Amino acid sequence: MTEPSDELARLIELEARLLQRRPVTATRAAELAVEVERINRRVAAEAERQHGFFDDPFQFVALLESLKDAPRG
Amino acid sequence: VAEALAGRSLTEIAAAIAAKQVSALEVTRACLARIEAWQPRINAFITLEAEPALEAAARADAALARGTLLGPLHGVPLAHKDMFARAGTAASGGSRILGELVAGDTATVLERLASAGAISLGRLNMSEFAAGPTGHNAHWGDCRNPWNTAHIAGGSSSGSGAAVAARLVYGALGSDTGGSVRLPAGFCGVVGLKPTYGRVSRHGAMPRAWSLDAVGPLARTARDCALLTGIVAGYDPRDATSSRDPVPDYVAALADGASGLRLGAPPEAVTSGWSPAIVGALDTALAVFRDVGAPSRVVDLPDFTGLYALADAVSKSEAAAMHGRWLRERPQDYSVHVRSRTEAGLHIPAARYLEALAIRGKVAAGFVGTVFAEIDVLVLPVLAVPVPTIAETDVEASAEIPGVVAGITQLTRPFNYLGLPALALPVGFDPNGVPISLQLVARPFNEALLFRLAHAYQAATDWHRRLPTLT
Repeated sequence: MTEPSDELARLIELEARLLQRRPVTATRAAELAVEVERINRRVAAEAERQHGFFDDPFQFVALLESLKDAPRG
Repeated sequence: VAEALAGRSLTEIAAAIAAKQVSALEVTRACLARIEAWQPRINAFITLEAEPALEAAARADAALARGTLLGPLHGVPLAHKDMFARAGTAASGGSRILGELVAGDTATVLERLASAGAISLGRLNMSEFAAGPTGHNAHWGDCRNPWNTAHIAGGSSSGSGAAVAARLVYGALGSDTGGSVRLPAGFCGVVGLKPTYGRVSRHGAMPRAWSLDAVGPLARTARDCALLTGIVAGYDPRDATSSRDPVPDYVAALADGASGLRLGAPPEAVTSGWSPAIVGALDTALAVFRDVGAPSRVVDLPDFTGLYALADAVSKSEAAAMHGRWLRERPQDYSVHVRSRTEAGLHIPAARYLEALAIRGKVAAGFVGTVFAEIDVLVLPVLAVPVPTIAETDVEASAEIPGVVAGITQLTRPFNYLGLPALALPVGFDPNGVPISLQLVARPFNEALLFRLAHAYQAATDWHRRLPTLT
């Protein structure tokens, strides 16, 4: 069975050819694949862990303003 | 005399100029003399603008002679990371590409500093496109640490950290997307603030990742940093993410001291993997904090690797989107390192990027609600291992090194995703002669607490008074 990172590496090479960018070596594509796969898997896991709570990212500063004051007990 | 002038803090020199004890011209000449001596060693400047600075200093002195004090920075020489727009000129962004683009207007932060009377000595070195944490730059030359030139200055605001530490300028602006103010401040032994997301306008600042970028000052003392932050912070209609939250008087707040602040320290399970010298410096600093009235307790921390990946997804996606056309059309104008780092973002699916942004509010609220439930300030190192050498982090030289470089931002990048304010504070020296610094983190818009704690620490210690020497 082909490892997912190998598949992704091939996609990266394909994209490079489609966009007529510089040639991407197989080694570099594999490195990129490992890095990208690590990020993608972890983000997907974190999103899953948050049980579907999705915020409007454009309201992030307003949210920070609401977190300004510490609860004092 | 020149050495004595350059050795003073920003606050001290501003007061001396305002009181006509020394002229802005004398102070500017003193800085230029130090730049002449240090620049060949540390390469902190990309462009030195000596003549315009001397002319501005002469104008400042003439204004003062007429009884006009322009503001709290009247006649004080500063310089900034070469990524802030100035109308009619081009900032390099540390790159080979941006220097061809002339800005139409001036960055809000530069306008505010100029209105306060500051003088600019030139443009400071930085990592190419603000894309690296070490200070390497294939186009303009590597910036070196003034304490030990074999070591990195930290990046991406490398010149800002090195210039302030070597006393070439009294303060500098940098930008921080994953640690780019805190790392060079920490590695060079000066105070540096990454403000709360939305606290300081980014209008006219070259973006790296607009959802994470923060513009912040580096200075010799916490008081100097508080003064600069108060000048550049505040609402700006030209930055859509700018907060309308009122800006406190950070300098006046220093009088409140640190007594009563509740600190959080990392558990042993986290610190056990860190360098013994770093852990020792952390423990010693916590004892000083306790003595100035701010005791600490151990707090549980979430796994930072998840926060790091979320920040990475946002940073890489946004950077790739900005650089896509240049990556396709001008790949030869990037260093291999920056091209590779930026290119990775082209392969993160839109859904992953949007997930990372969409859960950000909940993650940030959860972090603040748990970590800051019973503390005011979280205390961590800027870097948990000794500051590496330039050779150890030369990403153009070895395939093994990118992983080492990524580890440099392990403790800083999560706070860009969370949007929290974080301040780098020097607390000692490693056996390699390079400073050790802590990172003080607070709830959003609580920069004043960070300044109070750092100022109380500096009143009780003298690390910030030590100067690197030319050998």
